[in-house]
Amino acid sequence: MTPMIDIVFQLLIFFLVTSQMAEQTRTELDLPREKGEESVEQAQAGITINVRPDGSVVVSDKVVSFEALDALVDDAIKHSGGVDKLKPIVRADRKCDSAKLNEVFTHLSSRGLTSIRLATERSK
Amino acid sequence: MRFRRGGADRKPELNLASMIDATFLLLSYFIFTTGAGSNESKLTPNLRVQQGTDVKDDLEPQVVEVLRSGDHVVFRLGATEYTTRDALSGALKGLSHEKGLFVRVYGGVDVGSAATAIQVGRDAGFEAVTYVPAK
Repeated sequence: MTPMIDIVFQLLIFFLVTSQMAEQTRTELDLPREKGEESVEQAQAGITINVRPDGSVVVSDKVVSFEALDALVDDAIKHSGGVDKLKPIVRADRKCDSAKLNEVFTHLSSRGLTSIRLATERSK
Repeated sequence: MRFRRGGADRKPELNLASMIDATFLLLSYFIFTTGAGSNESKLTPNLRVQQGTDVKDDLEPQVVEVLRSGDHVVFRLGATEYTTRDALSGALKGLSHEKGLFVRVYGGVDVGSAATAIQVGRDAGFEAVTYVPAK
């Protein structure tokens, strides 16, 4: 019986940990209800920038200033191997003022990035 | 008092089963945790946009302005303002697609409306859609 109990507990722990993680990796946002693109390659983003309804910018579950965002983007560019290879994804709440999104895009542009992806959500 | 003498040739036993269990548990935990963080970008559909400014070129792209007019958001194409997605879509389909589309978004507009303009541009057949933050 002992090995069976071991395995049952392992499975239990595994599912507990992974189910919680799936929820925590994404900042809870109400994304624009658009179908997006079928042909968009599902490449690694390198960096995912979340913009909350109040305009705060969140990267890796941390609220960051624009100065910190610049540093994170520079770091991501370095790790991805160049400006052309980094295709960041911006997840902005659909009710958020575009002025904030404009600021984010302007900062990304100032780092030399030209190809950016805006996350959407298919209508439920 | 009588003590039981353990023989010198008696070796201590080590049960490896528990250690292997724990090792596999740690291995599977690290495999899944390292993968989960980087897959965030694969979780949602998205719209690919280029980032640009209003630099004048020989080629003149089509420009859609997304701005607030009173209580509602309008999509301005040339001198004409459209208030619905379908109307904008109809107007964009009749235009030349080869020079791309600029979507200039003003402050005060919600992100959902900006995404609508980009999506309509994509659906209308524009390969290059450039997001231009309005100053």
